[in-house]
Order: sequence, then C-alpha cells, then structure tokens
Amino acid sequence: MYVPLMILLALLLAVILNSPRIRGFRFFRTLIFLPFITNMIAAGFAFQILLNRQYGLINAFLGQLGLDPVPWLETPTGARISLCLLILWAWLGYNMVLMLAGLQTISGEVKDAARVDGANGVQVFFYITIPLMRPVILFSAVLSTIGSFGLFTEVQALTGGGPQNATITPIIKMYGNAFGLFQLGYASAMGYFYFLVILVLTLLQFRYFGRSDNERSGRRRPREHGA
Amino acid sequence: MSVAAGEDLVNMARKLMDGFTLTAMYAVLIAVSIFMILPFIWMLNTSFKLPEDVFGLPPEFIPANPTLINYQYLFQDNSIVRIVGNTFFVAAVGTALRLFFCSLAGYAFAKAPVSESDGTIQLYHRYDADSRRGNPHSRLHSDARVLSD
Repeated sequence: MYVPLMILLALLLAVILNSPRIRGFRFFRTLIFLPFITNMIAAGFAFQILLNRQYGLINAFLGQLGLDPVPWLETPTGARISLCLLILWAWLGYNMVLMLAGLQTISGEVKDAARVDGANGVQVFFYITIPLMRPVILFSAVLSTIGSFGLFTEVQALTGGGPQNATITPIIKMYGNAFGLFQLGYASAMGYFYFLVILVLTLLQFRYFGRSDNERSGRRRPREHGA
Repeated sequence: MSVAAGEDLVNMARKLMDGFTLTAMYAVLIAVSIFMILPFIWMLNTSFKLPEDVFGLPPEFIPANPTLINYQYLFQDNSIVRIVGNTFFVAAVGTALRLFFCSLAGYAFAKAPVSESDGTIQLYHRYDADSRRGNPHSRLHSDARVLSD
C-alpha cells in the first residue's frame, strides 16, 4: 500500500535534491537518510508517543487546527496508516539515495541534447529521466515489496500486529505462533511457506531485470558513455 | 516597442515561474525534513521530562520543568556498563573473526579455478566478468548508449 507512495516521494525528493539550484544538498540528504540508520525499536516507541490519541503531539496539532483527535493506533485503519507513516519515515531516505545514485548515472549530455532539440524541463523529465531511471525505479519497487513481507521490527514496536490483527505480517504471525502459543511445528511450516513466496518473488525479480547487481554496484560511471 | 514589451513580459513570467518552482522545491524538502526530524526532537525533549509530564496536556515542546533525572538514572544504573561492554565485545570479536575467515575465503575465490559445478564461484566470476566488460545486457547501460550515440 505504501510502496507506490514511497517510490513517488523518493523520486520527487531525489529529483529536487539533484537540481543544481538547491543549496544544502548534504544537509537535506543527511536529514532524510537519518531515520534509516536509527534503531527501529526506539523509533517505534517515539511514534507511539507522537501518535497517542489523548496526549500525542500529532493530535494536539490537529486539535489546534480545529480537527477531532484521530485514533491513530486504536482502530484498524488508523493503525495501518500509522504503520505506513513509520515505514515511510524509516525507508524513504534509503529509496531516495537509490534514486539519487540512479539520477547521477544519467549523463548530462543526454539532457543537454534534448534541450538543444527544444524540449522543456517537463519533457526532459518524462522522456529522458523517467525512461533512464526505469531499472532503478523497478529495483526499488521490487525490493520494497519483498521487504514488506519480512516486516517485523516496525510492526512489533508500533502496534504489535493489532488492533484486531489489522497490521499483522507473516513474521509477526510466525513469531506469535512459535513463542506465544508454542505451536513450533505450525510456525516452522509457515516459515517455509513464506520462504517459497519470497523465493518466487525474488526469482521473478531476477528474471525481469536480471543483473541489477551491476547497476547497483555503481561500477559504471556516466563518463563511460560520455566519451 | 510592443514586441520588446511582450518579450519582457514573457521573461518576467518565466522568472516568476522559476522562483515559484524553486520555492515549491524548498517547501517539499523542508516539509519532509520536519517529518523526518520530528521523532528525534520529540524523544530529546521527552528525555528532559518527568514521568508525569510525558503525557501532559497540552504536549510541551520545551518542558516547563526540565529535569536531568532521567540522565541521572541512566548513569546510576550499573547495567549500562554491562550493556556497553557487551556491544564492544560483539563488535571486536565479530570484526576479528570476520577479517580472519573472510580473507581466507577471499583468497580461495581469487585463486580457485572456475569450475562449472560450483554455483557460488561461477556466479561471482560471471558478475565480475560482466562488470569488467561493461555488461552489454544491462538495460540501463544499453539505453544510455543508444541515446548518447
């Protein structure tokens, strides 16, 4: 649910940051990347305090605007939205840096050529940047999707899978079965089932953009085609 | 005269649009940055609050009764030595073992003949060779070349 939003936001931020007219590139990049290297347990509890229905800062702010307090963590929908917020907070920076790396491999000469041919900024973005960024966008989307199956810490720290199992993930369910209900056999079976699901997704990923490893490793520099 | 005025008008409109875009870009950046930094700030000011003030109404950005008692607890708690010590132990031993075994494995990868049967080494060599060739199968690469040719 949050993957498309995250990809769009990450791309938007990367494009903004990549613009030579923006000052404080390092400052903003560091700020946005900071959550990624933060301990998720601490972040989950910080979000719990922020999103608290009665005492949280977010609801106090909404109250100032004249809105009713939102039961962020008490209702299934609210909890899902809160979880999306937390994941967005934590992973947006990572995806943004991936996109930034992708943007920087696009040779400036390609864009210049398009401009000489009379393309405006919007056209350059949609006909040059987006097509050339496609592998990076796909990579980012697939990685986020696969990562969603393995969500654990974020959920455990924020909602514990509740309320009414609204935010439950495979790993949370497995953990609950194994160490809450001591259904170790069932939990092991689940583990293998999710392994198969993720294996299939990963094989699809390899099939559709096989050697993304090279594209990621940044060995190719734009200068290669520039000459 | 009127043509020049028209050009001026167009230039002015373009400058205005540019300024607007730049402002919008900064607005997005600053909004996202505030969202990113908020939990950190909130945890910092919570750490200076008394337990009964943490869930006070309305929430205070700057605690009315700032206190260092939480930090005092932190340094009085003897388990902190153990916790930090454990971290250092894991970091030191982990790094040492990794350096030892990974350098052995790295040597093997570098020297071993490429055998058809060994998947891992095969994979490694294939990727390595691809990247040295510039991997013509990479979509990003080939697209870029088509466009720059």
